Parts: sequence; C-alpha cells; structure tokens
Amino acid sequence: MVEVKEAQRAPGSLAAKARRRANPWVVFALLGGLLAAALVAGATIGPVPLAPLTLLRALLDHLPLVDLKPSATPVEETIFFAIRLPRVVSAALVGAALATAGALFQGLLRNPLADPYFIGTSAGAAVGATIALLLPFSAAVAGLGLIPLAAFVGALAAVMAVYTLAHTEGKAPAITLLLAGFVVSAMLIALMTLLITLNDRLQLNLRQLFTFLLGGFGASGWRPLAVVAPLILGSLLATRLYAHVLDAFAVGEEGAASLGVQVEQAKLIIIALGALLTAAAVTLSGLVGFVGLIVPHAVRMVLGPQHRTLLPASALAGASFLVAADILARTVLAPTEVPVGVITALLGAPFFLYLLRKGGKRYAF
Amino acid sequence: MPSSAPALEARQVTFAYPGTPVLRSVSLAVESGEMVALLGPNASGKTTLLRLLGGALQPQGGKVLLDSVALKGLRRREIARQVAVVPQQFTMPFAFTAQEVVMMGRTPYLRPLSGPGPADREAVMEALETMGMAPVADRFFNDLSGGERQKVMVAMALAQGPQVLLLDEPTAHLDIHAQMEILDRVKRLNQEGLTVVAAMHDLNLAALYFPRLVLLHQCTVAAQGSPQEVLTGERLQAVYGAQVALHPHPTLGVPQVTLLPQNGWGGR
Repeated sequence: MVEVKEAQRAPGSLAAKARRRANPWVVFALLGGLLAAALVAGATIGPVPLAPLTLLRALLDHLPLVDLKPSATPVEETIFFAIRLPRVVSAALVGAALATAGALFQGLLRNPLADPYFIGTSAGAAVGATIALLLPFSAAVAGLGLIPLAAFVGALAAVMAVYTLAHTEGKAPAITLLLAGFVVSAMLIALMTLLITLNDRLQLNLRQLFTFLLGGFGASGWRPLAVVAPLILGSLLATRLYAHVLDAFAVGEEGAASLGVQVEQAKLIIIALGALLTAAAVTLSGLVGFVGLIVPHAVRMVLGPQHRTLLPASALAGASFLVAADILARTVLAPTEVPVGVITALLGAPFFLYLLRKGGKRYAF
Repeated sequence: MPSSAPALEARQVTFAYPGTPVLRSVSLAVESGEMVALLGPNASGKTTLLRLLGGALQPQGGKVLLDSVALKGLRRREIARQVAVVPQQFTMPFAFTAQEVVMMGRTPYLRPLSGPGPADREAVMEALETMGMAPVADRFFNDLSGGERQKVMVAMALAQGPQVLLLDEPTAHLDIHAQMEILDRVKRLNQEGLTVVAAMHDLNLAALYFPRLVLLHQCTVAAQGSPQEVLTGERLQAVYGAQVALHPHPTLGVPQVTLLPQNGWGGR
C-alpha cells in the first residue's frame, strides 16, 4: 500500500496552521479579574465618587460577625447600597444572561447570527410592556413593576407561540424556528405600533415605553433582583448540563441524534433555558441589544467553540462588558443618561469588526 | 458466514415521504463482520435505508433490529454506542478543530457534569491515529481537504466504539486518491471485525471493495449478492437506463462498469 502524505495531495491544508487554544483556566481567571474590576469601577464611578476601600469597609461591615468602623458617610452608604450596588449587580447578571442565551441559540441552531431575541422574546416583551402601559392601574408583584412583569410574560408567551408554530410531527426544525420567530416578531411589532397609534394614553407615555425598549439600568433596585437573580443564576448553572449536547448539535440535528442525543427533548430544554435567561434579563433592563450576539463570538475566537468553556466564559465576559457599557452610559453625557443599548452597539460593533478582520479568514464563526 | 442473529436487520421496512413512497417492504440482514454496499440510482432509497438502519428515521411499516432487539425500544444513547453514522460531507458551523470534532463521537459516553476523561481522550487519539489524522488533530476542521474531513468524520464515528459503521456516500466529491484511501481504511477496519454498511454512488468502487452489493430500485431490492451476481449489463440497463459494458478488473477480476455513450468522444 502506498502511503502518500495527505499534505502533498492537498496543498490547501498545508497552509492550515495547527491551532492552539488559550488555556481555559487562565482565561477564566482573567475574565473573573476583569469582572471584579468592572464591578468596583461601576460602584465607585458616578456623580458622587466613592473610594473603593470605603466601599469595601462598608460592605464587610454589613456581613454578620464583622464589626468595622465604617468610614463612609450615611449618604455615601445610601448611594452605594441603594443605587450603585443593585445597578452593577443587575448589569452583570443581565450581561451574563444575554451572552449565555446568545451562545445557547447560536449553538443549537448552528447559526452564528442567532441572538437572544431571535425567537420572539424582544417583540413579545415590547408588546407586554405596551399592554402594561395601557392598563389603567399600576401594580407591583413580588417587587417587580407592572411593565417589567408584563414584558417577562410577553417574552415567554412569544417564545411558546414560536415553538408551538414551528413544531409539527414531533419536530421543530431549526430553520422553521428561525422563520417562525421572525414572522411572529414582525406581527407583534405591528401589533405594538397599532396599539400606540390607536391609544392617546400610550402616546403620552411613549417616552416611558421608549426608555424601556432601549434598555437601561436607571431603575435598578434590590426588590426585582431578589426575584430575578435566582432565576438567572439557576438557569446559568443548568446550561452546564447541556454543554456536550450543544457541541453535538454542530453536526446537525440528525447527526446529534446518531451521537445519542435525544434531540427534540434537548432542544426544548435549551430553548426554554435561553428564553428564561432572556426574559429575566428583559425584566431587569428592558431590551439591551448586541451583547448576546457578539460576546459568544469574541469568546469563541479565544477559547474555541466547545460549549464546556464557551458558556461560562461568555457569562463572565458578558457580565464585564455590560457593567463597563453601563458605566459609559451614565458618564459620557452626564447628567444625561445614554441608553445602554446605544453604548453596547457603538462600542461592540467596532470591537467585533476589529476581531473579525484580525482573525481574517481563519475565523469561520 | 456466522449462524448467529444478524448484527443489523431491516425486516420488511416501508417508508414514504409525504406523497412519495421510498421503500416498500424491504428486508436486509447484515451479518456481523460483513461489508455491504447499498447501490441504486438517485432517489432509489439507499440513503433512506441507511437512515432507517441508524434509527434516524422510523419505518412506517416493519422494523429494524439491532442484535435482534428492535431499535425502537432502545435509548438513543445505547444505539449510539453500537451504531455509528458517518454523514455526508458538510462544514462545521463554528471553528472546531479536528480533535474537537472527533471528541463529539464520545457524546454517548459523556456525563453531563464531568468533562471528557482520560478514557475519552484516549479513544479520540486512537480514532485519529487509526484514520491517519493524528497529524492534523489541532487544525480547524473546515480548513482540511475533503478527504481529510471525511477521514475525521469516520474517526468521530470510531470514537463511538461502534459494532456497526454506516457511511452515507463516503467517496462523494473526493478525488480518486482520497476515494481509495478512505475505502482502504474502512476495508481494514472491516477486516478487524467492524460491520460496515455504505450507501455508494460509484458502482466500480463498490465492486472493488464490497463483497456484497444490494441494488435498490423502485422501492425494493432489485438484486443482491456478489459484484459478479449483481453487476450485469442487462440489469444495469434496466435499473439505470444506461448503456454499459462490463469487463473484469485487470488485477482483481471483479466486474467494472464502462459507460457506452451514444454521443461520446469521436461521435462514432
């Protein structure tokens, strides 16, 4: 038998360089450090600058069994505990949730353009928020205002509608899901526009709706976090169970099935987790774009596409990114606050394009 | 041929896509250690039969048995440890390396919380070496040549530790060297005990490597047996509607098909 070297036969692959992935633990450590730095910066920067050490003392003093003499003034303490801390924690959780949801949907659908909102969540949330503004009363349930609550319900209802529509004969093919998501979203946006056009009340409240739709952390507080944070953290942990399944989806749904994956069951759970993460994020911050689309791509370029490392690294990177974006959102034009979605897009797009060009042809998404 | 139950058996399977019958009561028993090629014109059902054998499709009538157990009653994970499928050529949606692709073959052994262990890594390296792909382990799958990609996909299937290997047109779109190389390697695996069933487009390659051919036509098995039994001029004329001549291979003696075009070179 003649063994001809494959490289001789295929000049194309001679050029292909061996790929060395970054060590995941080093990357996790760096991203963890980055997140810590972002959180500290987010807590200290603002109209009233707070010293990091003062905050640390105040924070430690709040722990049981620790009794430090806090150096922060009562005003500083209030700003820190009631405003800054819930705000940076919300931004971190939303960033982690959206980046993870993006990674989940991109992996599941083998589609690098899938983002957390593709499956109808954004439109559903928008319609939910619009309907909440229509209601003649305002209420708070479990610390959540009516608008975020209605957005949460709307987002999940839209995903259920999309999934049900795409589901025939026991299957929900990826391409049908994408199409159904697109169509349902278009319809819901039209519905929202119609509601706004028909209702004077809504037109008066348009600014409130607009602010919600653009996303932001201006209204962060502990009460919504108490409900939403466990939901986000629980879903983030649960995604770990599906990391190897998401890898198998790279060979297509039929390929995944022949690798032993219960495809339809796995797909339903992954969509449910992604939808929960997105809806929870919407509840905290309205619709923040771009994080879920670009963060997983940036992480893949460094760590590769295996979901065991991609999911946790995306969560950490997404959290840091959104905390940083929020700092900019409230400082660049202070005292005016720029919608954080504007910052994520203006900052994220050039960064992403830079990575894309630097990677050149080597990066096949 | 062993007298025990067939390794993989389709028993009177019927399958139709809406409005289009594909297979009508087709039976095929593949003994352990056999190497079988499914042949037939386009849309004759070879890929469908392969997908039924792998459990990707459920027959609408009849059943598929793996070691005498109905496939339908087995968990996907159990099937994946015994039957591995090499899909047709495709590209990866993300920049997985060859090694990472082969690791996907370990999916039926991975537990949700623990990552791949030493046994999984060993199986991956062994599969890469078996297919001669260890040197490209760290390259991007999408950067590899067609032949290399196909060998990596077979390595992925081997990492499943299967008894039966199903290949869907493994030589499609490959140059002649890559075609021979992939089939040489699959043949060697078969000689080491692996049962092989492949949907094949190329009759000559099928005759060169497969001791048993199954010719599908009009939803049923038109003929099966050795290349000498199956590949006859009249039958190929009837099934493919093409004028051909058959002659023995100069060194191996198996029949080879030569096309007799009506308006070929020289236009005689």
